[in-house]
Amino acid sequence: MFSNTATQDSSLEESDLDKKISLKSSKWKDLFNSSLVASALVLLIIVFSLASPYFLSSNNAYHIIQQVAVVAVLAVGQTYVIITAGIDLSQGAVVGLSGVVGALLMQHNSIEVAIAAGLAVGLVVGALNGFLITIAKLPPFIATLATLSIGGGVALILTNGQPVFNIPSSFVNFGSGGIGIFPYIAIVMLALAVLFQVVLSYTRFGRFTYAVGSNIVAARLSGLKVGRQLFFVYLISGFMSAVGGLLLTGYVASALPSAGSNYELESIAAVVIGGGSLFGGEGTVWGSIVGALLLATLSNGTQLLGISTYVQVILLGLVVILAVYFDNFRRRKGV
Amino acid sequence: MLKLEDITKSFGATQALKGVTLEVDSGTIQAIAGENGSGKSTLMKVLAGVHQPDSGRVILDGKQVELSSPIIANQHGIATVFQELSLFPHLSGYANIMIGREKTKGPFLDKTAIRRKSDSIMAQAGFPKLNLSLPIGSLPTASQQLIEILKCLAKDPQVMILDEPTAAIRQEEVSQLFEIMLNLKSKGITILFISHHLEEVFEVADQVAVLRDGEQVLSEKIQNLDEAKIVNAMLGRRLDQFYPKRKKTSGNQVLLELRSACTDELDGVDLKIYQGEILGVGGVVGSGQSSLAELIAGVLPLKSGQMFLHNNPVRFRHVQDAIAKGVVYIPEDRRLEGFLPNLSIKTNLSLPIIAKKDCPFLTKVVKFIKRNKEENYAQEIVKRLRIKTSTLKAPVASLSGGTQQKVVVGKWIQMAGICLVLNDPTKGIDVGSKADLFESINELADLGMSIVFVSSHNPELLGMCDRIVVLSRGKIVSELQGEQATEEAIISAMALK
Repeated sequence: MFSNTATQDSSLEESDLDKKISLKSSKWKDLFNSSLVASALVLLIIVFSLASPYFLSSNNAYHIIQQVAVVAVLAVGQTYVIITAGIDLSQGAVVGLSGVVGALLMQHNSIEVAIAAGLAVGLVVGALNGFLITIAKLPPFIATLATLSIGGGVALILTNGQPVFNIPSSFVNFGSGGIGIFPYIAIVMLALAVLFQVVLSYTRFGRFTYAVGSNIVAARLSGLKVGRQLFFVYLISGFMSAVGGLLLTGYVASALPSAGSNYELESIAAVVIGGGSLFGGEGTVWGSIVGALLLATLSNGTQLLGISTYVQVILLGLVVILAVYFDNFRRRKGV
Repeated sequence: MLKLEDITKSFGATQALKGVTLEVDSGTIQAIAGENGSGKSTLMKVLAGVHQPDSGRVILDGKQVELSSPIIANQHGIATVFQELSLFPHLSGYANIMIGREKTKGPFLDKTAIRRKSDSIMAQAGFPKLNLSLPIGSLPTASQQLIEILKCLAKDPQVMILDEPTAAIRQEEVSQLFEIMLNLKSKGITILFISHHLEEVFEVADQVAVLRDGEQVLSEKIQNLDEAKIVNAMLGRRLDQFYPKRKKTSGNQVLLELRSACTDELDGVDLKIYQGEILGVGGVVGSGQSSLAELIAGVLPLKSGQMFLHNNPVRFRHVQDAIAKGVVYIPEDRRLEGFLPNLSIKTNLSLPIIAKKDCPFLTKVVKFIKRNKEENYAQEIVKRLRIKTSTLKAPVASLSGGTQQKVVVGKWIQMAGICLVLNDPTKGIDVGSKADLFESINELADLGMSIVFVSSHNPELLGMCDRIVVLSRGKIVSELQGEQATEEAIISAMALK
């Protein structure tokens, strides 16, 4: 209890507190941050459409959106994982394995059964990751590196290393067809993205995901079941990877055991470009989708310009560096 | 002589230093006091070469110097022991002390020379014996602090900056540190010393400068000062009573009882906590006082013995169990255990209630968060604790230490149903925030809540608590109340075995 001789000081403070403290002041900053990547995307689109008349054609747009769908679906799961300060390297293996399992079962069973089994593969691998990380206490990097290897091996054994063809035509039609310029697989991707962004920003589950990633000890002491939360996050990532694997199978009309190799790296890149932080507590599904679109546009555009695929992967690396550099730069400037 | 002339420094729109002038004689200890955010750390960083001033001059022994980087500041003989230990936990003491100035023989490290140099620095400064060949992560914090000082001495400084060197160490180690400081002073080294504990300032400093809002408001020889003068200068208002008076006395109904409670650190504790009392828990670090707090709050499980709540046996297996009963815990280290750094004030404040089963602002089934209700809830806490912020959306990492601690307390203040456990809640926070915090604690106790108040700072226990228990080696060795409760009594109890 202080007796205030400097009363003007305290009255100033009171009036400060009385006015409703605003929640809006950083909206503009948020918008600026997400729009930085978005404007890079727009810039790329402008450059490519000037350089190649074909780039903006509806055929090509359709193609880009189709290309991005699989990586974007994976990025949705990866976003959750990265927000918890984790990483899921097993995504690529799950893409291959769930695609192969689905494709093999489609030969003799109904498509529904095959899809269910494919998705189950993702849930099993996700649960295994969750178990290794929360109960066996392995670091996420090691746990998912191990399941990446195991999953890849299982896919090779199931197929003897051979691709699986003879995908039922109804499934292939789904994978390649669409409504107008919207491929079905992109619609699936968009629906999942909306769903999981809503969960992330408006539900308790989403809030807990950020909390665990921001400070796991504080989260535990706040009464959160942090192990359970992490388990479900890896389950989601496994599930999304399986969805990605099935979409890819439909899209390319075959299933290769190695179909998903490097997809995990692309999804990580998409999340990081979209504002996710590997230190946890930051990231959005929207950002990651924009990140994935940027990558797909870059690869498509450079292809149209006749730049060799070897150079393309170099460009991809540069984009990741630039995105994270500008992100750090902005952070240093920011607060 | 070191002279800072009219130093200004701004960060964006905030002016951290508004023209500070400071003169320090060689071979003296200059204390710098001020609340968090008063600019003292910024001033020290200007001197350390971490920040460049917008205007003003630094004059060392009559010559103006340009401190454009920490390395250049080192070259001018200015070295800093930073608040956060900046050591390499996996490397040995020797490696840490000589980091960046290793002796070499051709391409190889000359380990013998490195050892010899470190040992001679240690002997000269009158340090106690330290084992410098171990990885320093395995040493106690106080030894690490000393190694940090050795590392600073290896740079052969004329001016040494100690930024809150006593924050992380125990009472008896503080006197050891002060001996070293006085010894360094007698060797002609100038020391700038930042501390939140004024009695420490009076113990070692020759003169004191006080900063407030980026301006120097007091600079005086220590003989001409008393504690009240310094505090008044820091606050810019008069401090009649730092510790608030209780309006009610504690009840005689037992809320919580421990019988022969044991954990790894506790060894058969019997304790009754009454309704509406503020129970102080004292003891040196590692005597079990932290474990006692964690046990009551369900963070640490009971190994043997019993715990009763309202005379019914109770067992907290997780912190959730304690929270459900209305027993909440404010942890010791706010950075590691308290807040979510990159999330907003609002999110931090509402997290515990959202984690509760029957949270009033969640929808059924899908558990959507009702944002208006959440915002109002956070708004209410911000007002109640006088958390200074312009927006609820500010990430907690961007706030000052005192404000961060208010957020950590604010998380729990509405959640505490019957008992609030505070584990050293005033570590590293400024006087104003402390006073606000004490007032909130008192209000809760007056409402009938039991408060368990663990503190390593004895005057605080004496000022705040109705009753004090002192632990030593996991046992309660003394219970003090009323007239018996004096600083001497606590200190002599702490030494009991």
